[in-house]
Amino acid sequence: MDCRNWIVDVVESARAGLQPDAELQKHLRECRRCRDRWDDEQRLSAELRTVRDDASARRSEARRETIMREFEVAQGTVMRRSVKLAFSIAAILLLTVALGLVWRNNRPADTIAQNPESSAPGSEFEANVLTNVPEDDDFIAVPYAPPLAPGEFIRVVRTELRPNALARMGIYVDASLSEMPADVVIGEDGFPRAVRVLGDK
Amino acid sequence: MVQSDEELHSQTRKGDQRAFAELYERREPALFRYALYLSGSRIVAEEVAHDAFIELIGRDTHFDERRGSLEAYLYGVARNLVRVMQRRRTFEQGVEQATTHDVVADLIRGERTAALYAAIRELPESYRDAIVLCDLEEKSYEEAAVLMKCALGTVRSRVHRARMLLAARLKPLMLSAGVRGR
Repeated sequence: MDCRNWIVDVVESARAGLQPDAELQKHLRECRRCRDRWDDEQRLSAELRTVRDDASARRSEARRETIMREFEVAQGTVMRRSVKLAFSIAAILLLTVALGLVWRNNRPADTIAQNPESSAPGSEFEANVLTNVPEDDDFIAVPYAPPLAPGEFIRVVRTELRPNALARMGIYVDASLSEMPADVVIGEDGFPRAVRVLGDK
Repeated sequence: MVQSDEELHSQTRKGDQRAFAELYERREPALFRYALYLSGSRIVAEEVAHDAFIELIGRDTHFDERRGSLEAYLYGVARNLVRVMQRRRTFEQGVEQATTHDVVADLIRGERTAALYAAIRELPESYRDAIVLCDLEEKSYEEAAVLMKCALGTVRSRVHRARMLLAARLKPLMLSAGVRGR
């Protein structure tokens, strides 16, 4: 066995802190180069052990407390971030619902949904109003006019009517009167359904 | 049953402080020593070990179990942090002096220790990792091979070469101080 092979044993014995076995001892006695290497390796191992002991001597309580506080802060940040996100989503949803309700309440009468059965409760109310021509608030139903279909669009048109025009609708007023302002409820088919006379001009 | 590092990390990510504490106790001391051997500075080593765990609990941690063990990941983070600090040149040279009774002996020992740290730092990176893991952290060749992602034989040959370089570098100092092998 040449020195290169012995060197492996030299290094490994020194690393492990072991004495060389009989064979290696015999070689070390005979080989100056390997003996020098053995001494170097022994010294180095001793130095490394000193460094290792030096590095291990350390108090850790303060560091541990610090990192645990950091952990709590990090977790708190994550929680706060989650809560913020949840609040943001809730706020967006509430805003959307509120805007939807405002839009529903303020939209013009002639844009009411055509299918009240699939609509929200508010539109059912409007549909009921539409299917029954209002006779309150001074509206007078036009006699013999076809009834409104459920959910049918209506328009309320303010216009000026002459007495004979009212008469054609079956509403008789004093013929001596001139044109008078009136609100006329008109169905989708263009036929009037109710009239509200607003008074003399 | 002892939980693996990866299991503890997974629980940590869910906010389990006990799991984090266990992981910290298990890995931080070795991480500190590793950073100390690479940097030669206790202050830097403390900071590196701390920052490595901060990275681990942070939102943007890059640990991926499929790419390797958590231990290897932590060593990688520590190695990079030491590099960053070396680039900034913010760490002090040498090792802080110990505070014991024999001041002269401590000064001499401190000088030798500092010289050893300096010699380790000047090794090529692959040799340095090998000797730090195997001879200072006392990992087996098999464990070091996993952490270094190379063959066992490669680790052994790197350790041997690193020792030869260190011995040559430190020989005058060790001889003058009369260091004897145990």
